[in-house]
Amino acid sequence: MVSAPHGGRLVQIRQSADLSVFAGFTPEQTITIGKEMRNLVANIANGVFSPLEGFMGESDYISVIDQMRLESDVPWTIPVLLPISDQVRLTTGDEALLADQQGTPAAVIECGETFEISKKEYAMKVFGTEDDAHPGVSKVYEGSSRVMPGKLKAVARNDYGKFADRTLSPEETRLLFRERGWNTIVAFQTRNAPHINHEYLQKSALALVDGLFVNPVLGRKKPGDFTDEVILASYQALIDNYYPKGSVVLSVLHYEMQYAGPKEAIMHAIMRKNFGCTHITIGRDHAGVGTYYGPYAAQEIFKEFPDLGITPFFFREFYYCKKCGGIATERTCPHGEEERLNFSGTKLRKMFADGQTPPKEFMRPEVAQVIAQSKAPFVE
Amino acid sequence: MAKASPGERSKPLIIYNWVSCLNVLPTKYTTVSIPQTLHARLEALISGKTGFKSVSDYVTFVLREVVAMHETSHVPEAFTSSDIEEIKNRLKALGYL
Repeated sequence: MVSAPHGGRLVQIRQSADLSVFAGFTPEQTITIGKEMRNLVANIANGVFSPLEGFMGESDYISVIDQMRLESDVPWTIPVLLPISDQVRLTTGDEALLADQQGTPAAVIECGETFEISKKEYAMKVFGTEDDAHPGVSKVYEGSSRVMPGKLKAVARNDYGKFADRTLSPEETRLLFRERGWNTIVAFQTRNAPHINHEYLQKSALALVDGLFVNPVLGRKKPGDFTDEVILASYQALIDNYYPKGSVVLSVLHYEMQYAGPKEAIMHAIMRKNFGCTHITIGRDHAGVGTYYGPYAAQEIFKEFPDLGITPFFFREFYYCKKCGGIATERTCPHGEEERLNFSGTKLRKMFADGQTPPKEFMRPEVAQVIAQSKAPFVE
Repeated sequence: MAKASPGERSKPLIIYNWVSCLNVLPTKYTTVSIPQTLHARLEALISGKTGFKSVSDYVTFVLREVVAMHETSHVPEAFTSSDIEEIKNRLKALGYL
């Protein structure tokens, strides 16, 4: 049986293609949001963030940053907030339209009582640092400290563009897993094109369950990252060539990475639980950036949540060891780092720019071919 | 801590009386009573390297695990029968089924 939704109920706010229901709002009743916030709204409506039905109020916010739980005691580690400008004059009980910069409606919310957050407190409690060089902290500092709670009342259908056919809702994945007869499903979170080490991690997990849910995160990325198109196409190539037919579901998640390390690992688990997954792989430095988090801090934090409702599979880092002549981890291989086949992002980018591809011990040829054939495989 | 003598029924012990902490802890707490003897056993249990700072922490941890287990075994399906055909059609059209 697939995992129960987080908090006991899968939130389902139907998304309407009829925009007339969003008419009649004045500029004073409208809050402008960006693309990433638009995707967040759609994720709440689809139940990816169940049991949330909108943006958090102050009591949930305080509970999350202090206790890592919603006020209802349900595990939750990163606040879901709607920052607003000081010019917004909406008050509790008002309805507000969320729309993008072109005025295209995204949703209607019922406003709660606005409140102020301390950005430094948020940064320290969620990211464990106040350093503005951290991308998640930097984003918090750039945003407003005034936030608007609000339950979603109506949501416009989100346009996922060229990724629409590879975007599934939790309702759809739950039914899909059931139709495939899967009782145990392991989720794999990624924001990268697959290397051999990813494949081995996935297959090690797949050996223990009925199915694998590969769920790449698409959204704002750093320069030098693989583009969304390349990530998706390279995974498709890997699955088509190296996985048993019917053993994998590949679907994307439109979500902006926070790089909150351990706290984000818990959120990744919660989201995949809502998709119906019973397990999730947590590897080295999951959702981390730079050296802000210990290499296995994202595994340690799971001990705090006996009631998470999704089981983590913890893995050490996989790599190709030249001396062993195969894939290994530091638990299975006695050799030093100098024997490991590894390429930095910079070296990998240069290799592809020079018309070369990495050796098959590092990346499957079919995957490398997808990257090599892309005109712009990396984010500029 | 006073232990119950043999044959004497253990008196309930308030283990969650954190009301005095409310000014620093935003989460609301309530009280639950357990036998003193059980409290003593739990105290001994967590005295090793378990990472639990108090019996209350331990009891909270265990009860959350138990509650989650029961809650997840009684969750109804998310979709109705009319939804199912619509979802299946999309999944088939996209090649997932």
